[in-house]
Amino acid sequence: MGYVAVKGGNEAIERACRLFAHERTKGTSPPLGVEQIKEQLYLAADRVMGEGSLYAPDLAALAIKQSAGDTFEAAFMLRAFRATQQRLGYSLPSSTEKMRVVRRISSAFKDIPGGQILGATSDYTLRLLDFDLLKDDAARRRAFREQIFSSLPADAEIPETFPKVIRILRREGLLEETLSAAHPEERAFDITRQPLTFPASRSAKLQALARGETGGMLALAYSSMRGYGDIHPTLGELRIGYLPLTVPHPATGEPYVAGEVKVTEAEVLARMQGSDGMPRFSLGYGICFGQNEIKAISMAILDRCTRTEKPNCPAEDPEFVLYHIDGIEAMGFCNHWKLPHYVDFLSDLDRLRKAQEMARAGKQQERRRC
Amino acid sequence: MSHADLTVLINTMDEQQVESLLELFANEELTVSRPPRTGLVMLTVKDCFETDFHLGEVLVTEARVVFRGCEGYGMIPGEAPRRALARAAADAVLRCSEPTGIQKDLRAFLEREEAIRETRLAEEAALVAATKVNFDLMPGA
Repeated sequence: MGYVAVKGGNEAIERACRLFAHERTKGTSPPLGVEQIKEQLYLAADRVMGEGSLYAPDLAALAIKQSAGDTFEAAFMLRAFRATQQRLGYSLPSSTEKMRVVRRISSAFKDIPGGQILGATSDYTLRLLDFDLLKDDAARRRAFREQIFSSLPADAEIPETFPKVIRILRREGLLEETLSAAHPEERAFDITRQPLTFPASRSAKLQALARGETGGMLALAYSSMRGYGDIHPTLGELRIGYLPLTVPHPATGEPYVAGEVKVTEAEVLARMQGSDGMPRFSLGYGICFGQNEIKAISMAILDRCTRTEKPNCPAEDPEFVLYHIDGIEAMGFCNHWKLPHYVDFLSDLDRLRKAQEMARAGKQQERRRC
Repeated sequence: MSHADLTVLINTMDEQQVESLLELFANEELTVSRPPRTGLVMLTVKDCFETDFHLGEVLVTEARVVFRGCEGYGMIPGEAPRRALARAAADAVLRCSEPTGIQKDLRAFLEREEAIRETRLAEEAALVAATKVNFDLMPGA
């Protein structure tokens, strides 16, 4: 490879690395604590965990600090860290019906069993800068906390779990049949252990989508929403909450709850023609670590798009989608163009000069014939 | 609450409480059979078609402790060796079939923590519940 045909430069490289760290620390503001990032920039940490495919809020916050806020770099660091850790095992399969819900909405039905819970969201805020935040201090926070708790309705209660909205449609036979019967999988594919091949199994596809980069997935899903595809979805349900991480107890084999993991889940509905000629809604499924609604919805749309029988657009082609959504791989490839390509380029120059010589020679011959 | 559920309370205790809990075990015959180590657990979930797939890995710390021949297991998310040890010790003590005084003390300790946790969860749940919405359709819709 042309770009490894150089050596040296160690001192300059080391100084450049130190200069990068200096850029982050040269200002007069107090050092940014990892706890601050984890608590106050939690959506950034959530995004990094989802794209790094490692649930570790403290390390995600550290990676954001180290990368000076570059989420691609931070996700890369998490992915690299996971490679240094041993795999202790797999959890018992977790159903999202058991989720401790903190937000749950549907754009398909106004009234859903358990109700719509808006939760913590910026959906209804004006996208205008809040200059009051410039005066953020402990006293203001205390006052805000007191105010938010004092104004709570006395009868506000929330169920421990919520039934899935799609159950309503399933009960009435308005949803496509389950896919698992048509595409049985004895055990879930693990793309961290085996290379992704095509046609990809459903479990492999979902795992690849779950670790995809938010922007890349949104771009592809958006292309479908805008008309480069045939899927115009309705959000059946979006829920955010905490899933139990359950493993078998090594001594007893009984389920052992190690803790909980925050996730966002989306189920989208799209119309389809059933294989028996009966029109039914089809489903698209999305889920990711942390609170990342754009990613979960985009994943659900791409899941549905890539099940289109005759793909016509990039977003409907599973190979195209799954090979291009991994942010770490895409960023790595893009970044590698910055490495010296002197030998490749010299070869290109050489070929270009020869091609020009031949073109000139050809023109001269043409002129002589005339 | 089963004893396995009780030990999960250790996950959210503050650092001082974890140390107090470990002090509670100071004079007991506990042997660390596997010192705390970090590793990854692949979180497997079910999609809307009941297909199992791997969502991603979770960083955890695990440890094992033996108490009077009974092996206790501790696993908690993140890098937290002291907490993992505390969970393993608590699991071993609570699973021991031989009645001991430490079991009573440990249950009392964890039940106090459970009350704290329930208060905190109730506060969070109240904030979330207050955002329950009933949209009205516009006239003519």
